[in-house]
Amino acid sequence: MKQLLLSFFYLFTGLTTFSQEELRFVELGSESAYCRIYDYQNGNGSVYASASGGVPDYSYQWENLSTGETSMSSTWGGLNPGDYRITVTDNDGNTLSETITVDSLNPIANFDVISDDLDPIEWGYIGTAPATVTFVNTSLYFANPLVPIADTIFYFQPEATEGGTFYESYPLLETYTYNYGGEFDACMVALTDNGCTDTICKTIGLFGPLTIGEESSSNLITITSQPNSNQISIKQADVKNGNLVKIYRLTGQLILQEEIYSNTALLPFTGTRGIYIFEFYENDSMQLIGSGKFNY
Amino acid sequence: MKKLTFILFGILFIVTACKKNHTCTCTEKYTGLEKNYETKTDSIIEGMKKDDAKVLCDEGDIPAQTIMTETIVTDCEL
Repeated sequence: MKQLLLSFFYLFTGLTTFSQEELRFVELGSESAYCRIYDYQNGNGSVYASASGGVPDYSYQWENLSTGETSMSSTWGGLNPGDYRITVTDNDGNTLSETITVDSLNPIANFDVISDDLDPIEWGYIGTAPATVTFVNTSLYFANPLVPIADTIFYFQPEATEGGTFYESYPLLETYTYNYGGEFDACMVALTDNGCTDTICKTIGLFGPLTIGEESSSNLITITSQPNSNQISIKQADVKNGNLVKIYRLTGQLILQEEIYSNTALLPFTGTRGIYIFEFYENDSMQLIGSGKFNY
Repeated sequence: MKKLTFILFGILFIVTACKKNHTCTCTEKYTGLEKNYETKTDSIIEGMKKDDAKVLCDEGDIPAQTIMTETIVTDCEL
């Protein structure tokens, strides 16, 4: 009888031990830190863990494997990239360890080019001027959602110039009209509050009348075609005693000659679309002060 | 006098005969990476001598413009 009772006791104890769940993690992970430049800056990454099984309650200890720094809670925030080890201990003294890596996210500048006037092509977008384009900011990892005050600045320039010192600032969503033909680089720079940057440029090619290239014009003079109103607009930086403008066909035929006494002038122009040659003379001395071509 | 009138009528006939309608055909040719096409557009130049009509027609020419891999050109012929 005694042996029978002992057998029951061992069986009950065994069943109890068998039904107890093993200590395990039910939640274990990390949120990436965001890019930073200096050591004093914080990437604001985080790690988190939650245990089950074993014998509750549980104690948690996170350790930064690079610095030895520890945290005694299940979630640890304000972290920089690195490896972190979690050790959870249940009420019975059983322990469980795992190592988690917090990686770093660099900002990725990006924007969509949306326009009925453009077609996407391998190297960018192609269309005919004038073209109206909406730029939609689709950048990633520029602001940590865990940091509400994270403030990223976006600099944008629809016609970026090579060697320019910086970009003109634009709102995140901007509609811009390209009035002339040519190749344009629309560029965006994302600058995070930690000083990390990323730049993206997209090429937009437009057929149509060109602005005057620097190589074929005086910096003092700008001719803008307005074929819809059969006019050309002439802007001059310096007008003393008036200038004389002459416009020729490519064949050399003089088709327009006008004296201009103001910095801005609108001249009627009935030529067909195409390239024309212009010459500017100082009125008194008839000295040539600028020449080039423009596309009408 | 009769002779002079005859000559004048003759000149008038020749001038009138030269001034007629001409068809100016402009061909826009596009060559590029992903598309190539050619479109022709006819326009009538009315009551003009052939040489003048040719000058007017040629004004429709748009020199070839190349953007990266894409080229467009318009050539007008009488």
